[in-house]
Amino acid sequence: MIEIRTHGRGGQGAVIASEILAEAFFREKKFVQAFPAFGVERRGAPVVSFTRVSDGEIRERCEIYEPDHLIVLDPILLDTINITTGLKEGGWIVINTNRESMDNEALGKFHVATVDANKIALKYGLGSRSAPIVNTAIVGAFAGATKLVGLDAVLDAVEEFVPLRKENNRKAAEEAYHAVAFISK
Amino acid sequence: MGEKITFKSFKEMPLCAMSIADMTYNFTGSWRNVRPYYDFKVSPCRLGCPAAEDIQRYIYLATQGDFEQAWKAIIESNPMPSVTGRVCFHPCMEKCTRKDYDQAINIPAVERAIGDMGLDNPKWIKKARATKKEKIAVIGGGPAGLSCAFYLARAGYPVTIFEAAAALGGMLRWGIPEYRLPNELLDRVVQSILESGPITVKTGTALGTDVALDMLEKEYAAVFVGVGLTRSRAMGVAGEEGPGVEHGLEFLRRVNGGEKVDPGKSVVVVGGGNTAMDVARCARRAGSEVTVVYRRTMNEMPAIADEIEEAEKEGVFFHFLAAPKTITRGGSGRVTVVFQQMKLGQPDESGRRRPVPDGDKTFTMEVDKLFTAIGEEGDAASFGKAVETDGALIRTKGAFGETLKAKIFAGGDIVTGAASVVEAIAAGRKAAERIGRMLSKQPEPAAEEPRTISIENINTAYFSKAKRTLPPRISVEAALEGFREIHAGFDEELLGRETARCFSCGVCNFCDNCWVFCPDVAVKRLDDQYEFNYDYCKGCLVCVTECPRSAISTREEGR
Amino acid sequence: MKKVIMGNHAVSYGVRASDVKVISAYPITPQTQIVELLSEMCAKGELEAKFIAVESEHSALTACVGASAAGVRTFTATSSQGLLLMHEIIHWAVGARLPIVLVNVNRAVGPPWSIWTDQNDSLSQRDTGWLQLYCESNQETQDTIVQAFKIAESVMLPVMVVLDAFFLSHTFEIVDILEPEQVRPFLPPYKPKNRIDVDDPHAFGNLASPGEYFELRYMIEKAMEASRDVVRDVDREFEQRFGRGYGVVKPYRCDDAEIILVTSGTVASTARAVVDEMRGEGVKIGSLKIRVFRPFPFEEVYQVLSKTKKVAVIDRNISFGHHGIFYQEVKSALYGRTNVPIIGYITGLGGRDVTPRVIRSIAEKAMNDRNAEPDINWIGVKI
Repeated sequence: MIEIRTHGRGGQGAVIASEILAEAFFREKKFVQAFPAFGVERRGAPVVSFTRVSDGEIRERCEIYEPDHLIVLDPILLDTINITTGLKEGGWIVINTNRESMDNEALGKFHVATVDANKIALKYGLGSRSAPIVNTAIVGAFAGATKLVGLDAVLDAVEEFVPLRKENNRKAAEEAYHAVAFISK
Repeated sequence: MGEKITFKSFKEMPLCAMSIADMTYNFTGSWRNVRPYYDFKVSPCRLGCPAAEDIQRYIYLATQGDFEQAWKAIIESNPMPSVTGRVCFHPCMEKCTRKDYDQAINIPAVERAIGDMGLDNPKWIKKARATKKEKIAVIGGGPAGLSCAFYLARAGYPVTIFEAAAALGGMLRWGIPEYRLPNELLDRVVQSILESGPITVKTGTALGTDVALDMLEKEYAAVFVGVGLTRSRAMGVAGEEGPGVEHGLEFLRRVNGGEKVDPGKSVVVVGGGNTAMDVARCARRAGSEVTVVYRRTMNEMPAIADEIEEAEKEGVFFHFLAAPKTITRGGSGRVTVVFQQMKLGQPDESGRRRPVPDGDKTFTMEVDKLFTAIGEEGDAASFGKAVETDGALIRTKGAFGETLKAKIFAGGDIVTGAASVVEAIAAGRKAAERIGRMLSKQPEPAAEEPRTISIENINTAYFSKAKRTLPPRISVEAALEGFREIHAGFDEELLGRETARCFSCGVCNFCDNCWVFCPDVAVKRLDDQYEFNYDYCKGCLVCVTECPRSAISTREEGR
Repeated sequence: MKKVIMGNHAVSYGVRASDVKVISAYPITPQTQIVELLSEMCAKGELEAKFIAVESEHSALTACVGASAAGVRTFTATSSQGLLLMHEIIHWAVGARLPIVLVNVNRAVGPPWSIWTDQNDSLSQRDTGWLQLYCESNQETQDTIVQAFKIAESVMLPVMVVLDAFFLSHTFEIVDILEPEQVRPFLPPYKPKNRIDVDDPHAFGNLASPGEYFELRYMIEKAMEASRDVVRDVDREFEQRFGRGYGVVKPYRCDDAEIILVTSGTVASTARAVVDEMRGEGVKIGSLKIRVFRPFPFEEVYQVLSKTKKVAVIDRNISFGHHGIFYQEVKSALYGRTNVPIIGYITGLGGRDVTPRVIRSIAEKAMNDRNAEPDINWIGVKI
């Protein structure tokens, strides 16, 4: 079973990101589960959501404390909360950032990939300059970095889950898939 | 009526509580220990109206847009709403329940609007034919006589009106200035009354000189005397006879007759009633400086408050607590009046404090003209010996103008002394009704103590505060230029706005609240009324609580 | 067709498949998406039902009572305070024998305010006469809705379908969505024997004297008892037709188990992962999910638990003054029939996460606990 934890802020689309990811894996015949950690959803507040992927029935119905991989929609969260808590060694961290390098020492044990999802989202008119909606781009980047799920499945999942601007969201996911950069592999 | 079914075992029972058969053997109405019933009261305004106009009803009919029926509702009690809507002192408004909530309904303005519609729609009244053989004489064509004639004629009695003057109307024509009651309108009112039934008019026929009361008594089945007060009262002041001093009523008669009057630069009017106000305001229109001198204070003035207010607006000065003592004349044609200063003493029989001389304080005014307006009295001599008089007034017994002579009835100012138009109208109608019962040998109706309501019985949660609607008016400057009416009438929009304010005290106006609120659907809505279905009314009395106007009463069951 | 959908929407699809005619509900987190999607379905004509918007849960259930009494299939959904506000009408629906189906998303009761899961809201309706079925997956939730209507209409009692807030209501997973055409042969249109009918008037909800009331209550209990077989048979028929069955209870690796964890809701699912993990370590452990809480499956519970050596009941609820509620029920099911020690554990109140680690700690503690404990075992409480 693969367990993925997504960190973001209210309004960025972290919860939908975990659901699109689940849908993408479902399209590759996996068993999936996705859900948010439920708080009082407020724009800008830290948000966590979860995705489980398995070849068999998923029975665990609780939050993910020891994820295999992380998706981080806001790099500032790296400095404010201990995001890597419980992350298994060798796991992937896919981060939305425009920074070329990461000086966070704690990230050394993990594979780190980055993508400027904000820029990509804005390029395709997703969200506003102050609040770009980066969920489709970051899922594309996750697929591009980890190769755990195929681009076609991601694009189909975007098509299924995104209510508006389906084409632009697909393009954002696809561009992020290819644009992902590796800090450590 | 259904039949009660008893189960022999529980297996016969349905799954849930439900009747297997008809439940009409046991209506839920049997639970009731108190019964609501529709019980319409008499609205306080109606009780306040001397003519007992059904004000609630005509206002309700007006809210429904049924102006013809509204007009007919007024005509039941008063044949000249166009007149009373203009000149009445509207005691109804004093009783209006809405007065205790925000402001009383503008009842006279509503009455005037509906009355004028009646004049504009002559088809609304169906001319009565003479179905009775008994002829009736009405002496005096003022409000009392016209009213009496109207109701008798409507009942089919041929009526002859004897009027001393050249035209009908009495005080309405000669005593009230045109800015309050235009002559042209009065002509239409008189015409509408004359057209309502078999009425013959003999003008220029004065009682005592042209006809004698005892002769009429013989010729007619009944006689109504409504001659009013024809003589101005004298002040009893030295020098009051002579040039420069005129009875106010004489002056008004000249003004209303179309004469161009010129009372001079400075005028004093002695008196505090409506005649004094009318004289003062007419003199203002003739360009005079006018001072009203009254022996008591403004609080005791018998004039209608609105008239006093208008007079003040028009620049009439008031001088209170003074009475003329002597009048002398110099060579200039002016009169010099010495006034005694007065103060208020003990209350008299009218409840007003009596004015008494304040020592020997006096002051003097020199004026071009002094008008007396201290009241009028009857001409007792004109009756001969046909009726018993009390001073200059006719003595009556009972509430319907009966005199000591079975065939002679009387009403209006000649019975009451100077009173109001509406009281004269009421007296005329009551006498007509009594005469009709006498001639047709109908029993007198039993007098019933009317039940009414007050603000405590109104569910004010259903009403929002709204100011009284006022009709448009002309400016004081425009008013002083001539004799135009001060106020315009309500148009339909203003009429609708004002009638909508009516609480409809104690009388159902089909608001549907009882029908809506009844939790047992026990209120039936029929075409023109609601009806309780006592088979299902459980006596919860929600209808009583939610009736905004106390039109539903209750009584205990089994009592 | 399989789709990845949230638990709340699985409910909505179950309602759609059941050809419901009247839905009345008042929104409350975490239930709201159920009726949101249903009102959308009604608006789009995908579901030919009347959606009655009301001003409170009390009115919502009352509207369902009226509609159901008029003879149509009705549905409502609520949660926590909303269910409690319905309480008066919860009783009414039973006494009036109306086969309403209600979904309650288990949410802790305030104060303090909580939007997270525990079972006290639905369990506080235990004695009202509603059947209660607790679900552990989105698929089971959708399927149980369909079963619930069939059960309700055959015994003329209302059925409450219960799922955990968020851990099910907001969790996306794969659901094989039922279409109304598939379901219709399984769940034919509702045709009540008695209904409010203007052409055949009767009085309903009448006053019943002591001479009648008792018998009507007796008949409710008889219907509840009869529903045991109905619940089982409906699930079997459903399994034959759709290939998915859930049982009245669901034992897992219990045959040779020396200790059995008794669970319900989503905890039942997580517990199975723990059972496998501990079995891998050689522990003879099993789990028993109680799916049908009312009528309580005494016989099924006895059959499974009487063969083991120790029973640990996990309650995500508490009956203040008398342990967890499933614990009470299990004890009374086994009373006088076996001497197996039964130990109660309370955990996860107000949405506290019941992780595999928490369940494992209960299992390990239960193995060491000697006998039935008079005191409540609190798991995870920070004291």
